Formats: sequence, structure tokens, C-alpha cells
Amino acid sequence: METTVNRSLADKKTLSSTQEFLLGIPLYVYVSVIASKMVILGILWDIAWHMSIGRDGLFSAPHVVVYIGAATAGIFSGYQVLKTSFWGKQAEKNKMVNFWGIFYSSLGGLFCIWGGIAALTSAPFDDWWHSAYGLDVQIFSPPHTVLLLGLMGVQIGAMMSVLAILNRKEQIASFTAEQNKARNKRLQWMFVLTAGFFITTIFTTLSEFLGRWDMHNVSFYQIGSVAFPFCLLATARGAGMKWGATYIAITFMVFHWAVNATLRLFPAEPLLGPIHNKITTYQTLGFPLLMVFPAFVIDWLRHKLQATNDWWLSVILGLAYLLTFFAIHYPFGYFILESPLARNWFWGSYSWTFQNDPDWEFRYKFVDWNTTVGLANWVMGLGIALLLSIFSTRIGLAWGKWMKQVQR
Amino acid sequence: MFLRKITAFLLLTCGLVGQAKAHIGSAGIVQEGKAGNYHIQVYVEPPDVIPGIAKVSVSVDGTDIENVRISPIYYWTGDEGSPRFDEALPVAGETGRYEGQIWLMESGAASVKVIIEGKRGTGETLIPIAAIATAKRDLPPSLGWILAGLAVLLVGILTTIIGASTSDSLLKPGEQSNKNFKRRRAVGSTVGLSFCGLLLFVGNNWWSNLSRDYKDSFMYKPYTATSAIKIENAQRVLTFKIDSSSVQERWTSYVIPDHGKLMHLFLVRQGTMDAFAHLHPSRKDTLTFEAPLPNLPAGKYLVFADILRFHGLQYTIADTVDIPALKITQESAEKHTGDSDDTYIVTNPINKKLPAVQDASITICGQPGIKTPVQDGSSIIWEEKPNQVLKAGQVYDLKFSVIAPDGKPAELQPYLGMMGHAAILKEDGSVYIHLHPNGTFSATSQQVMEKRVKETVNPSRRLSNAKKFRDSVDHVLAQLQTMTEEERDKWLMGNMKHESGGHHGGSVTLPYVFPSAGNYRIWLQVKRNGKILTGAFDAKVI
Repeated sequence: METTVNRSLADKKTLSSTQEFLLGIPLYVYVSVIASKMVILGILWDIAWHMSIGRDGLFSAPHVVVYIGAATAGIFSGYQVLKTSFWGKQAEKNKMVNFWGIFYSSLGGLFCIWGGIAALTSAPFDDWWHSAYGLDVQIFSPPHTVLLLGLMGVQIGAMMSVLAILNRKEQIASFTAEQNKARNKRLQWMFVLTAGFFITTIFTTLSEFLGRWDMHNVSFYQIGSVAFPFCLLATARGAGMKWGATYIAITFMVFHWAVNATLRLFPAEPLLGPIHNKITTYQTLGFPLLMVFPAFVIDWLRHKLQATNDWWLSVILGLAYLLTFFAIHYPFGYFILESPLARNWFWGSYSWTFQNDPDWEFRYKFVDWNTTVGLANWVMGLGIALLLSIFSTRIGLAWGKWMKQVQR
Repeated sequence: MFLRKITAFLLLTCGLVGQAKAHIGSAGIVQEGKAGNYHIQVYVEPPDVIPGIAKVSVSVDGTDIENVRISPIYYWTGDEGSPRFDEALPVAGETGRYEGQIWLMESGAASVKVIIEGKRGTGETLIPIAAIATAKRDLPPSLGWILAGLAVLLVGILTTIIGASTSDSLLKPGEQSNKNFKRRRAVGSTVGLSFCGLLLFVGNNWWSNLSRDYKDSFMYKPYTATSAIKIENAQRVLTFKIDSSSVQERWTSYVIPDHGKLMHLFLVRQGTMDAFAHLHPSRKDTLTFEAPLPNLPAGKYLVFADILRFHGLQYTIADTVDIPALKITQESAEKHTGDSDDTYIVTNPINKKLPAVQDASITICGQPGIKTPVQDGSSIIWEEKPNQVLKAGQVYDLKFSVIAPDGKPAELQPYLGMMGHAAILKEDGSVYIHLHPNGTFSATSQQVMEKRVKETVNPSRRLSNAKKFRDSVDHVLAQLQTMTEEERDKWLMGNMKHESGGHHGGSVTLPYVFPSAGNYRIWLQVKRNGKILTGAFDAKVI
């Protein structure tokens, strides 16, 4: 239902060219979307930095990008809370969630503040972690997880900030019908972008389990079945677009690929020993998962089965997701890991950290001890993956339904 | 997961998971000597976690230094696998002192290369170090409280977020919350709080598991051994057997001689430290070593055995052994079958002026600055002021002068290829080190690393045949036995540079950093007129 006219923008005389350019979408929403991109951009760069240069400090360039992203989102949102709570008009407070008796914030703002504080918490925690267990050698450690959860908080905050406005379906009186339509479209695309960045963060967090060597191991399909259906389904519903999941998956793939492929063009020199692999350019994570295929199938089925209730829909979509995910990635594994055609700048499979021996016999080969063997193991493993996929889909559908309702 | 597996696999194939420690309790490495035309003293403080950062401090003589550069070199990757040099920067107010850092990313045999450039040309040195994880750290309480405070804030906000997600955030602008929404908020907040509790619980378990993994798989675990005494041909024989369970792929077939001996084993009577022996057990099999004992008094002894593996990593294996009393007859003493370089002394207990037993063969332990007679009528002076207070964590040149019976500086001979050997032990046994005038590392390790730097290929293929390796080592040892003393010393000294200030006119200087406060005993061993002299000295460190 289309509702409230945006009162602050109701008077045409007060409408500046900037506001027209921003299509009446508050600046903090743009800021949070940019922040949601910066944090994952910084993380991807930081991973490449560790694979290529190795030596870093608190203020290395990728760290600064992450800090700016997280701090901007957190500080902007914190400022917004204080401004609205103590100096805000009632009309502004009416669009906010009241919490702890005196504060007013949008739900997205709260997520961003949480994300900022979590990222801040991870800094001393990570510093101590290094002194106790050694410097960075893995992505998946407790302090890094606190950081990544914080960054996901910032990204969910950005999604919520966009969604609340999108869901309110505001028609700004001073805008023409086209402008209002354009505003709605822009909000939808802003949501698609933030959702794509969010999925990039999830994939990056789990990349140690979802690499190309894992594509013939059933755990790849189990982890992929937990991690992606829920966020694809939720954000596809949230976007309210027919091909929402597909657009979001394309955003993830293009963004992940573009950041890493761009980095691969830049020079880099390892500053730590021992150097097993002599490199001269940035080494990065490999090609992203081909998420566009399961996403396309999900969108197509969602459209076909609009009348089906969410429980049945979860079973069908969960199964369809797993089948497509498996059917695409199992053969893709042969190409991306073993084919010489994948060892180039585009596919990125030649990328190899300076810390690993370039002549390692399994550099371009599946390893026995990391490959699931036997039909029974596959059937059993994929059976578990199916249950996980259905469960994850069901949660995603519920989360997506909730997303459609968020107003503040 | 796979990246971690790859790393673990590579480390295993390279045999790097097995790590080394050539001492107990003395992590810092000091080198004293010449680098080209410069006299230098280098102190390396290796990190106690790996990957980690080593601190390097270089002191150079003269004021003509243009720059000092440092870089880590690993045995397995050689200098081809080293990053570019980093500059060590001058320390303000301390002429000739430079400080820098090197990053050590893997456990194993490594070294620090130091290059000095100045008016006297370019000088280089290579200091072998062991990159190993030894630290077990707990969260400091202050940081614990800060993190706990932030965690409470995060839990509070997340609980609020989940509560608001199910209630107020769904209200249209201006719409007032009602009872139903308030109930939903309470339910949402409860779910949120439970979720946070679950997250913290899972996170805490994960942390505990990682911490356990670190202690079990990444921390340095020394070899362990079982020592026993048997009586054979009317003499006591020490059997020192390395426990096979402690080997963990650090195969002992690849042990190489250090100063011409496969093992240097020190025995020190526990508690009183008044009996000391430096033995060189012979290899019976890959794990078992044997040495007939000299005339040591009975008692419980601390055992420290040093071995050196092919890549230059030294390992100290510690144990204790009860030595029974045995009457040594003139005949059995003559038939003693021990290594000709084995030595022992009995002296007074640590911190007591008088020996516990009265015997003509007893040597009185020396103090700083006081002339102390030793076995052949000559004497040794520790060139420190009497009652000098030594401080932990500082580099000291422990200088000892040997005076011949006629009062002139003694003419010293090399003993096992070095002009002096010393063992330093802390009263409680928590610190032990075997050091030499060139520094606190093995000169053989340095030679191994220098040889590796000259090569351009990975040396691992040489290690395919353990038996062949062992046999070739035994062959070298047998050859050494056939040489005259002079030939042997020449061979052992190899290209070692002895102009390093290590000995001048009967004096020997040993650079060392006492790691912690307490009472230490130093046993110094030098050779004069073909006889090995052992002096014992007590040091108080604060």
C-alpha cells in the first residue's frame, strides 16, 4: 500500500538540486550502502595483501579501507541516533524505533552501530590473538569472525536502511510520478547491491571451506547449502523483483571477480620470508562461485510457484538449489582447478600465495584426502546437504517475508 | 580449511613441524665477532609465536657506518626465498647501535643475515636462529575486562535489535506500539539474548579448541629421553635413549656432528651443582647413546644433551638420572673407555664457599674478579669487578683470563675446535645453555646455513636415504678418530674465524644475556698443554 508523503520534502520550494539528485533518499542511506561496499572491498584487498606482500600493520591500506567503511557507517548512524533522539522532530521520531527509553534509531542504523562496535572490539582482540598464537595465517579465526560479523552488521544495516524506505512506498509530493518511480527503482537497485556485497562477505568468510580443491568434497555442498539459500531467498524476497536472486548473485560474482581481477594487475612484492613462490603481482582468491545458476533457477521457480505455501516452497527450492549448485560446481571443479585454460588472469587459478611451493603436486589437481569417494558417501553427504538446504531456504523465506514488512 | 590443510601438508613434507631449541630458557641469540672489517655484536630476540617478529640489535665499531641491513633466510628456501633487506635504524643516543625487525612466517631452521656498509667496505654475517613457538599466553585481566565490557554492549544492542525487529520496526511511521507489539518485543528480546548466549558459548568453545590445537600441534615440544646407569666392566655407563614417541618426524638419523661429536652431554648434580661432567656419548642406534661415567660422586643429576640436525637446528634434551656410588679402583680407572675429550670436575656447592666433601681433586668455584686456581696449577680470573651486579636481559661479554702457573697469560689451545666452551646453568635448572666465544649458537649451524646460502636448490633430496646419511656421518667420525690432535683441531676449526676477540693472550670472551634474575653457575672449559681445564664460577643476576 502506498502511504505517507514525505513531510520534510513536501514543500516544493525547499527542494534543492542535491535532493533531486539524491531522489529524496536520505544521505545516510547512500553512505551506508557505500560503507557496505568498502568493508568487503577492504577485506578482499587485505586477503590479497596477505597472500602477496604479507607484512602489514594496523594502518595498512586495506585495513584503512575497512576502518573507514565500518567507522563511517557506525559514526553516521550514531550521530543520527543522537540527532533524532535529542534534537529531532516528532515526524522524524515517528519513523524510528524507540529503544532504551530515550533513543531513536532506524533498525538499519542500529545494525550499523552494532557492526561498528563489533569491528572496534575485534581490533584489540586480534592484536592479542597475534601475540598469543602468531600473526595472520587464516581468515577463519575468532577475532576475524568478530570483525566479519561486525562488517556483516554494517551490511545488514545498509540493507535495512534501504528496505525501510522501500517498504514505506513513500510518494514524495514534490516529485513527478517518474521521479517517484525512479526513486523506487534506485532503492531496489541499492538493495540489490548491498545484498550482493553481503553475500560476497559470507563467501569470503567461508572461502577456506569453499575453494576449488573442495569442489569434489561433499562438505563443499553441505557448507554451500547452509550458507547461501537463506541469504539468496531472503534478499530476493526483500528486493521484491522477479529476478532478484539472479541480480544479487550477478552483483556478487561481478564484484568479487572485478576486485580480485583488478588487484591481479597490480605489482606486489613479498616482504616476509620464507618466499616459496616468487611473485611480482598481487595474488588473490580464485574465481567466485557460479551462484548465478542456482539463483536463476530459484527465481524462475519462485515465479512459477507463487501460490505455494512457504513450507512446500522450501522443499522444492531447497532441492532445486542443491541440484543446480551440485550440477554446476562438480564439473566446474575440473575446469577451474585442473584445466590449463583456467590458469590465466580471467579465471585466476594461477594465483598462488608466496607462502606456498609453486611446484606443489596438487596445485592443479584434486587431492585424494580432500575428495569424497564412493557412491554411498556421496548419497549420504548430499542427503545431509539437502536437509541443510531446505532448512536454510525455509529460514531465508521467513527472513525475506519479514524484510518486506520492515518500516522503520 | 583447504588452505590450512595445504599449509599443514607443506610443513609436514618439509619436515618443518618438528622444531628446535638449542638451550633451555635462553631464547636470545648473541653473536660476537667480525663482519668484514667491522667488529660487531648482534643480539637477536626471536619471537615466541610463529609467525612472529624477531628483534635484531646490531652494535658496530666506528663511526663510518653508512647502513646496516637485515633479512631472514630459511634453510629450506635459501637466500633465493628471502625478502629484500630491511634497514636497521640507528638508535638515538647510542653511537654504532642499530635496531630492526625481521618477520618469521614459518617454524624451522632460519637465520638472520646482517650486511654492514661503510667506509671499510661491506661486511656480512649470518646468525642461525630457531623459529619456534614457545609462548603460552593468557588474556591479561585489563584487556579481558575491556573485551567483556564491549561484549556486554554488543549483546545489549543485538538483543535490542532482535527485539525491535519483531516489533517496533514493523510499525508504520507514526503508528503507536500496542500490547501485542510489546509482547512481541519481549519475546524477540528473549530470543535475541538466547542467540547471543549461544554465539558466546560456541565462540568460547571454538577459542578453547584452537588454543588446545595450538598447544598440541604448533608449540615446540622438546625431544624427551630416558637415562639409566648400568655397571659394565667395573665402570658406570650412562645409557641415554631418546623416547621414540617424542621424535615426531624429527628423525634422529639426520644428526650431524657439532665440534666433531654427535652429542654433547652435560651432567650437573641437582641442587648443589657441585659436580659437573661434559661427555660425548657414542651412538648405539638412531635413538640410543652411551657414555662410561668418570669418577663423579653419587647423587641425582640433571642431564642436558645437545644434538644438531642436518639443517643446523640444535636440540637440547633434558632428563635426570640417579648415579649410584661405585668404588673406582686404580685398575678400572685405567681401563676407562670414555671419549678422550670427556671432562668432569667436583667443586663446592653453589653459593657456598666450602665444598661438601673434602678431596684433593676438588676445585674451588670462582667469583667475579677473584683469581681462582684450576687443575694444572694455572688459574682463571673472571674479569668482572668483585661483587659486580649482573642484570637480566643485558648483553654481557663474560671475559675470562687464564694465567699460567708462572703468572703469565696462558697459551691456550683449541678444544674441540673452539678456544673455549662454557655451560651456564641456573640454580633451579630452568636455564641451561652451551656457548662459545663466537656466540650462543652452534658454529656448525652457522656453517650449515652459510653452505645452504651458496646453493641454489632445495636440499631435501639429499635426505632420501637415512641409512646412507647415518653411515656417512659415522665415516666422518671414524676418520676424525684416526687424525692426530693437531689435524683434528685444524679440521674442526675449518674456516672458522678466530680473530673475533674470542681469545687474546690467554683470555676467552663469551657473549651472553642472562634471561632472568637468579643464581647461575658458569663452567668454563679451555685447553692448555694438551689438558682440558674446567673452571666454575657463580653469578648473581638481578
